[in-house]
Amino acid sequence: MIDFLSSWIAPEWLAVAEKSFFVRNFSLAKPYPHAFLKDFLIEEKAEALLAALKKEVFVHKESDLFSLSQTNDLSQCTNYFLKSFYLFVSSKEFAQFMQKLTGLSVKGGALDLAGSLYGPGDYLLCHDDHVEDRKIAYVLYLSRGFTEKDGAEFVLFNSAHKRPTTKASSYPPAWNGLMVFEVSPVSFHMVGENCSSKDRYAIGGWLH
Amino acid sequence: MVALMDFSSSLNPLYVSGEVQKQMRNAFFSSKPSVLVLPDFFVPSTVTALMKGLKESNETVCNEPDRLSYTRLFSAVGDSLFSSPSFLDFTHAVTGVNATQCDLALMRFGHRDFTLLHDDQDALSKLIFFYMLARGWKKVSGGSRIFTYGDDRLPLSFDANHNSFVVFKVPVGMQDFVKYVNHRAGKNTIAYISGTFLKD
Repeated sequence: MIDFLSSWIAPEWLAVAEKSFFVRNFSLAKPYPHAFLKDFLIEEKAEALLAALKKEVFVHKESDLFSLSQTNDLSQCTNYFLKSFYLFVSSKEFAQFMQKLTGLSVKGGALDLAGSLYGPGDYLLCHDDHVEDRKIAYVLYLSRGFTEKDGAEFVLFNSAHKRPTTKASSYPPAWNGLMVFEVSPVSFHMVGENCSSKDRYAIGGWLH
Repeated sequence: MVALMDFSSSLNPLYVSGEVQKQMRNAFFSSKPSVLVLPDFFVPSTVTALMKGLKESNETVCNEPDRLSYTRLFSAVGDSLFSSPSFLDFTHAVTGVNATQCDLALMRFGHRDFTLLHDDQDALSKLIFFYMLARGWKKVSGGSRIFTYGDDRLPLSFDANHNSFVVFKVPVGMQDFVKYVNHRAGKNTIAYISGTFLKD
């Protein structure tokens, strides 16, 4: 298992997955179970992933809730490197790794995966992601140089009576950082507006 | 303190003429759905007084992260204009609807403000209006009021135009939201004075 994963995941995270404290920290995180894994992929893999992602077609979408661009689901992509990444995150080994990190049971191969691009002024307002049988949401950030002032941050909300109330915490979209959280009726979150002139690339989806 | 204003003397003289009102009424009935957009709605002195009145009004910040974010304004100036019998007479002349009163709301939208569609929104047909104060506003900043069926049918979008009045017979099933106001707005804001016409 480690051999396959070690070709993608930075060694320190493979080691952490073996420790019981991490899953405890994940489960007890407020306002709901989540973790942010800095420098998640091996650096060269993250670089190659961004380069491959930038070659994909992004379609701009807008509704009352969001303004952003997305690729199609990457299970259908033809780019060799993206296909390899898809095979990695859809593997049984990755599902087991995520299970160790989060304590949540997920099925290998049952996932959604797409690229997202938040250009200047783009945003995703508060929602819970709670659809069908999604168990874990994951987003890998692939842009550099975002500061607090630039926005485009991931924001988690407190809730009461199954409605979001106030902002609990936020994470800037740091290069090669992986945000993971448990999807539930109270997993309220948003992506703050990109107030910079930079593009914010990410790749992610849900494990089922 | 801003003095209360009279609707008749505030209305752009262009819209007072009986002949023009007849044309507006024809336009309202011939458009599908029925809608009228009237630019330069009030005379400049009224616009100035309205802006001053709204600036001095009491306000409450409204924030429900999964539904809305804006500032609610409470101003007698807006009420005096849009609750007056002469406003209801004008509406009757251009839409044929004989309303007896108007349920008013005054809201200000700035950077990071929005409203979302939500399940319990009224889905019945109704006659509404909204008047906008949005000096220097650019469409790219957001803040447009968008009416949608929530499916593949084309939405109807009203951009925030300064001193512009819209009266709209909202079809059954259509809901609306105010598009998120982004950082390009800077410190500019839009004031929406909105109302739903009621009959006894």
